[in-house]
Amino acid sequence: MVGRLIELQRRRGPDGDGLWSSDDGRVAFGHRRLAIIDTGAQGAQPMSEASGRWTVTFNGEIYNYRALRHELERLGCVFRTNSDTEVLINVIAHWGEAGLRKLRGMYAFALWDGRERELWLARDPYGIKPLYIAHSDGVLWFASQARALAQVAPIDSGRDAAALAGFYLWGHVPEPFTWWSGIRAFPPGHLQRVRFGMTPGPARPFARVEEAYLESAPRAVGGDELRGLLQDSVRHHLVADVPVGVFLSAGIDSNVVASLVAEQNSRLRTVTLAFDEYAGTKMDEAPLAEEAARILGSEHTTIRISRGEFEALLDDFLAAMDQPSIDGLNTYLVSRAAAQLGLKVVLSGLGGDELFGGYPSFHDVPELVRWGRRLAILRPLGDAVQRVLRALAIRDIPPKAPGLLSHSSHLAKAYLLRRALHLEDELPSLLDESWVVEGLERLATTSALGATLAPLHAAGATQHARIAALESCWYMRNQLLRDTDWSSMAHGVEVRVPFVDFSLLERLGPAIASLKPPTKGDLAACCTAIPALVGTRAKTGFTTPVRQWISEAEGTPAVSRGLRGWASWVHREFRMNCPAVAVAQPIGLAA
Amino acid sequence: MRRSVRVQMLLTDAFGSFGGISRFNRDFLAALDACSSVERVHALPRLITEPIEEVIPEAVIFDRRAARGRVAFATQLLLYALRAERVDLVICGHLHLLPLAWLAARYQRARLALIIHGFEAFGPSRYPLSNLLVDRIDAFIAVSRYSADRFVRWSHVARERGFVLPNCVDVNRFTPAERDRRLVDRYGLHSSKVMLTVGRMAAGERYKGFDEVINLMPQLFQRFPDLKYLIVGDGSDRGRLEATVKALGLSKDVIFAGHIPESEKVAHYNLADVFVLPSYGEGFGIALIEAAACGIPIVGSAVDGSRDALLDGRLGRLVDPKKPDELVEAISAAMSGTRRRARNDLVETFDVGGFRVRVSRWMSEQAALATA
Repeated sequence: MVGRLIELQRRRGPDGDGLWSSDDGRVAFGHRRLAIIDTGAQGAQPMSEASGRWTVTFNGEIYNYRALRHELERLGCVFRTNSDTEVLINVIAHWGEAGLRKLRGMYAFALWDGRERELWLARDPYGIKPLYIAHSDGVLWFASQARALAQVAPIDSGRDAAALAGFYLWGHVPEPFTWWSGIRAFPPGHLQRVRFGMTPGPARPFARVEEAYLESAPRAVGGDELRGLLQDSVRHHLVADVPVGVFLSAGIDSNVVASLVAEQNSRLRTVTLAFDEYAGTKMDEAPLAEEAARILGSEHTTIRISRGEFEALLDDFLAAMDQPSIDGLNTYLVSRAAAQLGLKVVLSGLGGDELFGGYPSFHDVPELVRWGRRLAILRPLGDAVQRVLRALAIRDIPPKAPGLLSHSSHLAKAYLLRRALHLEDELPSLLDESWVVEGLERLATTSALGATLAPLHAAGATQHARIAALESCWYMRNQLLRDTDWSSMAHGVEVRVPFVDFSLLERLGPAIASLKPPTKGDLAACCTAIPALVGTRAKTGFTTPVRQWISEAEGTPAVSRGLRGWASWVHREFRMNCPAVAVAQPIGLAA
Repeated sequence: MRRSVRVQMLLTDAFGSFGGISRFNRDFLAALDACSSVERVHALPRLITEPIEEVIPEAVIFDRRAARGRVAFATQLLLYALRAERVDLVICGHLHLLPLAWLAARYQRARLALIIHGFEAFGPSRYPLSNLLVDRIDAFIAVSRYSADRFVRWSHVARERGFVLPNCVDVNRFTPAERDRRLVDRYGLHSSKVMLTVGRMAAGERYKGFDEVINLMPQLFQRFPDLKYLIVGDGSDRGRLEATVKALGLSKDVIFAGHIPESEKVAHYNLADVFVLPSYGEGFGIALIEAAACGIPIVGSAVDGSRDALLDGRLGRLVDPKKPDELVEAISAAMSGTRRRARNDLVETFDVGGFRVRVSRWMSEQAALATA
């Protein structure tokens, strides 16, 4: 079964596979390898350390493994390999739970302590790397892809109402829910220790993104300090024994990453994705990216995708998609191009908007709350207004507009309004009420958003910091990071995100919480080598012409706004390919 | 890219109801959910009589408000039509709902399809508007060749617009089994031969042949002294039938089980030594294939849609319900065998999987025509 589980995740690691089971056969680990550090056979996983007490299966990278190794060697630790995996084992073996705070990187791992007969499960604070778990008949299952787990583990593979409602609400399935009732996302920044034969205790947090903004008293960051912090993060993210590239767009974030890489790496390789439909328009990222690449002196490749190519790749794209999402296409296409260029590791500017207040939400959400306060007297009418406007169904009113009054009472609701794909009261026209009622109740979205805000609220943090926390813990974690993971790993490409680095956040967080948070202008000022136009270009987002392609195929000019039509489309594909029926055969696996 | 369609379905009943039509509609909605050509189905039921226990398929919005009455039904239809997303195909689940379905299709410039179950469409409807609009349909589905032929004969709708879609049965759930002791106790069937009919007793229809079977009881007793006739189902004609039974002095031998929960259905079939349905107006007879899936010998009708359900006699004995001798002989022959029985694999023709494939094929055609 474990063999089948890793086979289903083959695309994540085309360089090899490994299986391990404990002497008594009660614990089994599998691993698919994408060899990046210590690419030889000795870096293979699952890996046990010298004493044989600890065995690990690990997904991700420990960027500071060299420094940790040095520290451990001084303590008398002897290493057999040059891999970060062996460092990870020894960090835990030597420092126990405290070792988790020393790890800088993206990771999800399962570690078996043969002496204590205890399993450790942990995931990085941002949740860059996925980890899904399921329980059935005393057996604990885990995997990097929920879809693979659903096909193998004998669990309840029925549809989770929270996932279905959540998908239409946000455009993705919000954690901890997954598309399948019996599978849960392991919480980021948490550790769970499961002793054999005992009921597992709850996962406990060891690092929280929302608390990093409060790491120290708020204080603004200077230009040189900021530049130093970013240089440090990029330097760490370049650790690899294979060539590293950069995804380059016409935006500031990726240009800064590329420029910082160019400073440290003599050979820079950049890749840009462009669409035939956008050629010659302002939406075309290629000309600016190419100019940036020329200035940086990089080996640059622009990949142009036509509608025909998109259609030919659509089945594979949907097969690679782990859970339904309205995003992921860009990363899928550009990662495919990177893989064809022989790149295994690529750096991305993802996370820049969360750190430097780049999203419109940083402006719109406070504005909405401000107006909400002014119109507080009308708020009792909010739900009624929403119902009436919705019932009138005037086609020219933006679909989220009826919710303006009812969603302006506080930050969490205003954030939901800004980020939602559909508002709660739109769901009954998309799903049966049985799914909607149960789904919304279990999602408890407003209180879940409130839980993210709680520490910031208690500390009286600025609205800017609160929005940064929401963007990082909700949109970025559930949509950007998750989609980036499956869509790049599908091509055997590891995307690294130097702006999504918990060590960087611990340093930059207090500045974000200050009255003078760092801006995109400050970010652009960190590099001189980017084209002037990049710094001044209006934010367009990393868009794809999906909407246009779909509306043409559907033959309906009045296609649903934005990516709404695409959501129904993706849902239909998942309905077809992951039907809500038990696919796994019952097995007699002992715990 | 694969074009998908939005469907609106006007139904008499489906979830939260019982009977052959609601069973067909539930199966049909589940089949639409499994169609890659379907984006979403907005289903409006006229009636919901029971708590809904089934999971509603993901692609289906089962509009419970529509079931609150005639006005609510029309209101929900109107509200939906006013919303931004127009549907591409309107499926009318019953001839009586055709006027509203026609309006909905007309307003949304959608194709219009009609489902023909049986009796309701064997001749002109009592609703003149339905009869007037019947030739406006773009397509129809009939549960049997017989239903299709009867419908075409009076409506003059071209036969080519029709698609025969037989009912289905979950052959994994309906399987042969030993008699359930609790049910044997409940009905007092110890060492009895059991003749079974499952069906609605509707005063307005009376085509299922209950009277014919009851009238044969004295003759059958001669060969099977411990015979019991178990009738599962309910309806407006039950009182009259009970009175008939009483008058004939058969109260101990004819058992009216009434309506039973879905969860007990398979066990009820498995009580029987023979399943009888000498009908003369059945559109298809879903009970026939449920009985066949449980491996029960069947005596059915040669003169209506049952012929399709029994695969022209390969799945059960076909008789003329108006010929008592033929009926007695067929029932006797079926009951003379041993109780150990095996299912005829031909019943898998009607499995849910095959039903879904047929619906999917029909929907693909409709989707192509709706978007052409």
